Amino acid sequence: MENYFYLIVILPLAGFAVNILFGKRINSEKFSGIFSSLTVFISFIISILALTEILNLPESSRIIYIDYLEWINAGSISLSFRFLVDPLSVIMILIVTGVGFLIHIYSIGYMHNDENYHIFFAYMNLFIFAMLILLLADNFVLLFLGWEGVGLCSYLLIGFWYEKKFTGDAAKKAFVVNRIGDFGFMIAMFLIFINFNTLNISDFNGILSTGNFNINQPLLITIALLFFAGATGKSAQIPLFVWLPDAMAGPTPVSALIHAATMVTAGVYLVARNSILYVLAPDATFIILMVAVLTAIITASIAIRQNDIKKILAYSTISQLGFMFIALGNFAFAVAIFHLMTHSFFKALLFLGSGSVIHSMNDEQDITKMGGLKSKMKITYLTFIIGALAISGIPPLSGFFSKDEILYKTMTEYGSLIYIIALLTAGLTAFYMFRLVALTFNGQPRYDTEKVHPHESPAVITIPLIILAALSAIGGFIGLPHYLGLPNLFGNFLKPVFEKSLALRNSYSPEMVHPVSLELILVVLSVIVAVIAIIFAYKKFSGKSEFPESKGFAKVLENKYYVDEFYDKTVVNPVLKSSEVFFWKIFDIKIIDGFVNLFSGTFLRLADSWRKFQSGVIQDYTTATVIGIVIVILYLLFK
Amino acid sequence: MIKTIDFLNSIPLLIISVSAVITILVGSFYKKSTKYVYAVTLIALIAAIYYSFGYLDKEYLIYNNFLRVNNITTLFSIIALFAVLLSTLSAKAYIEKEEINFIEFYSLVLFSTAGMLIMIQSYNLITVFVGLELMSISFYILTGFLRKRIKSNESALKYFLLGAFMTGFLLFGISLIYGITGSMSYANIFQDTSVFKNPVFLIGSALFMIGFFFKMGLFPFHLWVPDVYEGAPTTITGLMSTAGKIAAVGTITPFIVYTASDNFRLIFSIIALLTMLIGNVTALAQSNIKRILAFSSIASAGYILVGVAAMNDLSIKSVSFYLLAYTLMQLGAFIIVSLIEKPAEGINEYRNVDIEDYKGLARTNPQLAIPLTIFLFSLGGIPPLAGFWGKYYLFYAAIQSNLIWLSISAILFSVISLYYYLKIVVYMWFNPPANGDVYKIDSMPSLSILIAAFLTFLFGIFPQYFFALFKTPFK
Amino acid sequence: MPDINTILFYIFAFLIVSFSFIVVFAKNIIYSAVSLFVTLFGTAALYILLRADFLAITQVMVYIGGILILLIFGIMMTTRITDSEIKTTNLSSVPAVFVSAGVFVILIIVLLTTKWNINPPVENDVTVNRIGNLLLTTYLLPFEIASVVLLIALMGAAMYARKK
Repeated sequence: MENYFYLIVILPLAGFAVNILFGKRINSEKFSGIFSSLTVFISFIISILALTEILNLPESSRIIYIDYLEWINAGSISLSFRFLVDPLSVIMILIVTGVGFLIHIYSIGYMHNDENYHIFFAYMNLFIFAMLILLLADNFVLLFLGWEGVGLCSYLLIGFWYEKKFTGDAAKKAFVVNRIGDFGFMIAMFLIFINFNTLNISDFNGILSTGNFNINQPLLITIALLFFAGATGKSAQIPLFVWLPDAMAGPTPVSALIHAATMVTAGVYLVARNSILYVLAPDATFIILMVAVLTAIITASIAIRQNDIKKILAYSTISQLGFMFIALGNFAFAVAIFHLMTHSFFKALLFLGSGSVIHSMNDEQDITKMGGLKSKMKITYLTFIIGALAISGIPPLSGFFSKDEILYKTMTEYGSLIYIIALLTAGLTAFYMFRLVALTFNGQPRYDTEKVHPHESPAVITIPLIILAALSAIGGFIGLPHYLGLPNLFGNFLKPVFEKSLALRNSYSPEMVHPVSLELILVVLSVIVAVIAIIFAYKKFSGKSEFPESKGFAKVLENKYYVDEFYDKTVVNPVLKSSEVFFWKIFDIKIIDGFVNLFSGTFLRLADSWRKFQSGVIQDYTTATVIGIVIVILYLLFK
Repeated sequence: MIKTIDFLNSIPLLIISVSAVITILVGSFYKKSTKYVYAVTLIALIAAIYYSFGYLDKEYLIYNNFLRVNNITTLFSIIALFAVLLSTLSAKAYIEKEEINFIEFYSLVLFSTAGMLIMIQSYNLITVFVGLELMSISFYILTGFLRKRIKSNESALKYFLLGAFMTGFLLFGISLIYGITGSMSYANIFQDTSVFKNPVFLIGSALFMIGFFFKMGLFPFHLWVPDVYEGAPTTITGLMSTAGKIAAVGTITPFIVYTASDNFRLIFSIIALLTMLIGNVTALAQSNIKRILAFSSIASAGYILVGVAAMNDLSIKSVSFYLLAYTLMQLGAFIIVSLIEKPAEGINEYRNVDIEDYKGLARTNPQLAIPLTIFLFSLGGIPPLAGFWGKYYLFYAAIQSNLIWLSISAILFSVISLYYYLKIVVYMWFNPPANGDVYKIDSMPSLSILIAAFLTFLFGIFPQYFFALFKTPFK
Repeated sequence: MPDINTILFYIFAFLIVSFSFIVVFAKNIIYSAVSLFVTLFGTAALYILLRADFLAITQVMVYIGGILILLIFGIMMTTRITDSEIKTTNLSSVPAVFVSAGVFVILIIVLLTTKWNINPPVENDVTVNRIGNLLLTTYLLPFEIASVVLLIALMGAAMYARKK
């Protein structure tokens, strides 16, 4: 595997390099698009090769380390480009390269005629590269490199249409909010290095699984929470979720790839990767669960009153990420990854579908100004419906399997209260999705039929939609629930990764055995809730043409609980004020600048006077030299 | 007696010396053959580097124990040869421009290289001395190579007088060591470690080391550096400030680390501190780019001494890495300066070497401004360039020996140094062009700039590549 | 009663030191040059006392026969001998005194405090043969390098002197 595996990472990097260096000179949309899609495609093929190779190995030896280069070796820090190839990372790279490839293809059509076409593809490839580094890294520093790399690409791509002011603001917001989380990540790294003297993920997990640690040791809780702080930034959880809806200012393929399918799952991956840490710190994990539940219900409720098609999907993404964290909070790591996978299928599908709609509506994003697109965009409509059904959890689509397993785990782990909130969120999900579908595709056109002529998108856009729709439909079958009596391929494949942590969990909190009937009841309940929500939404919004000013709680929802305003008042403005009044005008100008000026002034004056020593007279030079020698020797004699 | 096997174990030295003699012979019969001599010189240097790699992880004593081949000597030899190669590669364009395209130039470069190799590999104080003289005398002559320019003559004379003066101290040191140990061979000198505490031995070795400190340009033996570096032909300045320094450091560092005398640690630390202070601070007030780089080279010698003063296992590793990084960035900068410099046309000063002349270079000559920016950033120690790791390892070595105050002040001084490096960068990028000149760049100088810039990045991102050379531990 | 060697040593040492003073302090440079002649000769005599006959002859040939004659010729060719009042103008006496005193102190301390590694006195013997042998066997490498050093010095001188 070593002899070809590095290509997975190198190829997208090559795509980036070629596009950024020669893209302008080649000046060919075809070349840029196809070349960079091809690099991702080959990476995908190699990932499949890696998967088959891993599947051929016995279960116990499916965790492989590939050492490529030593990177930094200084003192007790020893870092290398070491890849950790195990079922978890293989699944992740398959998702990234597979979905990434489809979105690359889609972008060929979507970005057509853009001025900076080659730069767009260069950034997309760079993103794939950074994401793969993040997923494959076996040390936290390399992982962090990828982590920052995807953040950078996200920033660049959100602000890709930088001529518009709000894209720049959105990009800045995303970057700054993420930095807050990254700060937690970095402190976690420092703590690990100080206390465990390693930065290798495998070594760290190895030390943790020796059994020398008590449950809920303060140090472990701190590290776990700091990592989670990083995850709340990247995966848009409370309190750092505010950047993701704004990030929709970027081109739609970017929203699909980065802000739905891949980058935002980095936080989930990080927690899953450190599963042992979270098993050892169940208090921290409980906090994750609480945050996740709150995030899921709050953002789902925001989504029901939004009118921007991409914003709805953005809030839905946050809510679904909340679901993944709920799974993690219940120690159901494999289930979280399963939902991550299915979500990346149907959410990419929904975003790309929305892109197709936006494209044909001449960049209109407001669903109150759409309607009746069903007949004009058949393929988009059908695939969109499949995506919406999948996310609503209608059997036998993929979302049903992953979501129901999360709900079941919630019930068995923490009981009915949290379960009910989660179920309510699932119902809200079905509701806002079909509100979206009804307003967009059903009813009468509410746009200016004279000017706008919606039409079906070209094949380069619809084919990725069809493929993703197929995946969303059948993707769930690899993770069948056990009450059906069939093997859960997905769970079994991931077993070696989470074996140790689950065993550890069982050692202090044995898993209870629940009757199959409980699970069946829960399944039926959630399906009923979803179906009711769908029907209700369909009825209510299909024929709707009036959109009165909302009042009361609806208005609060429309304004996203005033979270942005709240942050502005409590954090942003005070910081800005204090930085202007104190940090800039007093601290910076008076103290820092004053000190710096004093410092530099002193040295400049010294420099001016010392240059006189350089007289150019050779007698002076010899004298100075001999004085130096005499002093050295006198010291040696009389010390 | 000298055995045949000795020749086999000193192929690089033989290649260099033989080709040096060949160039003289060819030059005296065919005056117009500079092109071929240039080629011969380059081939000889490349071949010498190639064969040097074969001596890694080997141990020989050759020529009646006068020379020694091991990892350390081979490593320093390779770095020195590499520095000579890079500067020779770019020298042709310069000496053609200045109309000093004589065959003697290449002969002298090769002879000085032979001197460096002899110094670095010597296992006896006699060979250290003759090797040093071989290198120095070649440098004296090369410094005055621009015979028609008074500046060049002046600096050659200054360099020669001071160099001869310091040679006296060096020899006195050697004779004191001989007087105590009764031998000049390292094998005998290092045999009895009790002698290291003998005050006369200490004085002798101090004088011996000071002879090399002079060549390295350490305070207070640095005063010749700015004058000579300014006056010498720019390509020779590049050669002296890198290859010459590598040879001096490569000779004296193993000697210091072997004797590892705590008596010297404080002196070295103070000398290092003062050198960094003087070098970096005086550079602030300079406006001639050759002088700025000269002071920067003094400061670099100070950084190197920080690593040497550590006198531990990391010293040689860190010093050699820094020397490599330093060679890349300093030589790269000097090559670019030599390209921008204009021929004299009867003027006694060098033209177009003031930093004012670099204003707006990025607009008129981006292909020079970009690599120069890289080299200056690297000199300033900005990651991820080789210069950053060079300093990092040196200061790390010092911290390992509890010289924390020294490391902190070294870091402080390298912060000060950013001022004058960045000043040039700012001039190049943010000022309107001083003149619209577009400088002619031949393929050979651009090749050497490219190599230097590439390696600056490579060793900045993968410092491990260098340390991979050390398969066996030292001593 | 000290033996004859010791007495001779002190006589020559006195000559060397006193004429060195004249070299430094004489106002007339011809006097300086002639005093240098005596100093160098005295050194050669010390070498003979140390049974280093080869060194003594080399000293006479190189310093007296070569360098000193060159020096005097140089003076004769650059100024008229009649008014040869040559003075250095750049005298910095204070640091010079400090430095000289420092070096003097150091040398004295070094001389007195050291246990030198002293070889037993050798019998009267001609050393030239042995030196010649050693130079072409054991010390061949430094010898060769030294010859190269001379070669490039020659080359450099020729290059500076060349027209064009």
